[in-house]
Amino acid sequence: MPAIQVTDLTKRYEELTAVDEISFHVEDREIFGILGPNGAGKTTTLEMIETLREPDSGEILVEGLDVRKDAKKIKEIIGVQLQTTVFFDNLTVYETIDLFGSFYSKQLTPDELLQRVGLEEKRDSKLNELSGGQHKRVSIALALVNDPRIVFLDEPTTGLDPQVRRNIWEIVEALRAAEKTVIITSHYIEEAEHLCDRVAIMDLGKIVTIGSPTELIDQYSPESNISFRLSREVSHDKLARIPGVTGVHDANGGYVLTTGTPQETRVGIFTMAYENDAVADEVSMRRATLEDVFLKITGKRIRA
Amino acid sequence: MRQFLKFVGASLKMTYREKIALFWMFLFPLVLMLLLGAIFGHSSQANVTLGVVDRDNSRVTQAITARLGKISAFKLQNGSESALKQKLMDGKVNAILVLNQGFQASIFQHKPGQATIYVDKSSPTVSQITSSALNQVMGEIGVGMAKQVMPNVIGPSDIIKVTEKSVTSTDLRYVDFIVPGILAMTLMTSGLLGLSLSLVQNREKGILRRVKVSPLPLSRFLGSEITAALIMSLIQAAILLLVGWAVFRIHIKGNWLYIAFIVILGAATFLAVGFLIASVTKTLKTAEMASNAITFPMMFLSGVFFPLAILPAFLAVVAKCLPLYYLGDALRKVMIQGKSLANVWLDILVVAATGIICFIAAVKLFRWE
Repeated sequence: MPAIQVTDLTKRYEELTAVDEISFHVEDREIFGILGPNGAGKTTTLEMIETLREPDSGEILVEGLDVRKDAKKIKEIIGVQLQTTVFFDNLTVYETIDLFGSFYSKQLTPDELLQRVGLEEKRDSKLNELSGGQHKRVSIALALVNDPRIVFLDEPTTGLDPQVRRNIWEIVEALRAAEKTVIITSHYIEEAEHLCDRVAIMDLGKIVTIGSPTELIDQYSPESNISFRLSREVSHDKLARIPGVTGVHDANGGYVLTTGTPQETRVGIFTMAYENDAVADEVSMRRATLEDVFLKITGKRIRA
Repeated sequence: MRQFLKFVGASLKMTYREKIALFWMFLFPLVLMLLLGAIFGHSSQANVTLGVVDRDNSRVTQAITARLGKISAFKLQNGSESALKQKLMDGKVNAILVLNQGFQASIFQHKPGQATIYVDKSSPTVSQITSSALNQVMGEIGVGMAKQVMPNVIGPSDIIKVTEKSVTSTDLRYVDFIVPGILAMTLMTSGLLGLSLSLVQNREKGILRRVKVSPLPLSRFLGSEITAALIMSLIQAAILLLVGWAVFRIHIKGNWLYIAFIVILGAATFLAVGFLIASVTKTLKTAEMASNAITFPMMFLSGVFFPLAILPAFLAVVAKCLPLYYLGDALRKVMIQGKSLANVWLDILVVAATGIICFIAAVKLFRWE
């Protein structure tokens, strides 16, 4: 049984269809990413699964439980980190976690949770004394307070600097090790690539495609770019005859070749250089990323 | 239960750490009470100077004058009616009692003797207190005389003693009037502001959504917040009464259980009103405005600071439509006059009904976000 099964889910706000008949499932113990620009419907989708919003139509099963009928049971087994992370101002970190823990029938100790998210030294600080990254970590600790089987993280790293983002990634990876199912939304491509087993790309309320990052790249953007320099100039015609090459560009005094078979093309570059009495230098290959996939499918950049 | 206690504890902790809230909840009512008590308290503690004009000049009216003269709280002054009226306007006498011509004759005909009381409406507290005291004294003297005229209804009661008691009773002191009033006002403001603002703020911040995503039911969440607020109200009441007693020696004659009952009832009712405000307003700003729109008129129109009798008639009608009037009335009667709950059943009914109606409406209209 999948951890989450969503079928024909729709949510409308007056004129706007925020989520438009989407269907997908999340495997047990999988880290599943929902990727998309702001307003794509990621958060609305998440909140319907979390029982926070009523779907207009469609069905959501969480571990086989229907969100419409068994909301209370679902709440016991899920952990939720909401996008906005503000808590009671006058409580300490410890007290906040302790208080939220008391809402559940099963509860981990605040100290254990603080250790998991690396906030032991902030145990007795007030919430309003914390930095943005520390706030996020408290909200992730709160999402884990009932030792849930399924964890929802809604843009856990938005607005954080790269170093702090990496810290959050480590926490998420620890969740994988703890065999949790994790559903994470993001508009950072590299985050999804780095963390997720599978990714759904959403745009305008619809799921455009689903698959593992590698599958998606192979499917939508199988080509790689190889850039290099040559000790003497060579005509584009000669470069185009290198095996596998589908495109040639000048770039920064060097060349960029687009290819569907990067291994073959790499060898070809050195052969061509040898044949033309040139030395190839600074050869580097850039594989397509989900960003390229996204650009290709939706025709726009994700952070637009 | 564990959940409940933890939440109540956390709420209390949060309130305790919110120093500004503490000021408004505890210090402000105390300062207000001390100020009003200091400003107005003494004027009414002094003896009432009473001008007496005896137009009938009969045996009965002379007896009444003589009896009034024996009451220590009254200092009698004789003189012509016009001279006394001038003195009243100058503030040299507090009230004038005119015993009309034919007083004795009507009494002998088993009709009430006609008397008029003049008071200076421009100094409301004194006049209100004086006139109510005088009315009471006259009423009791009247009862005594009725007994003399119709000996067959004479009971064993000692008339003069009754008279003395009610005159030296706390009715005369403004502080005794104002302390229950301020207590009622405090219950209202902290009930209204305490719950409504924190709920709206928690909703605006998204805390309510975070709570909603947990299995904690709404009823328990609200129940905990309400319990914490009620505990705060009881502490407030205790502090106010303690200071009132320590500084002004207010006379609390009432049963403590009755007082606690009315305090809790009042606090719960205004919490319900606050809850309703939180349910119908969207932002902290509008919630604040709505709370103020409710508290300010109530504060000034409900007879918290001064007796209703001094208001123009139509405002007195308005006052009687406001639940705070009934709470103040109940507190005053039970605390100061030592009445039982049965004596203030109407007050209790109005206050409780307000609370229940607001609570039901609030639960119906409540939104998590």
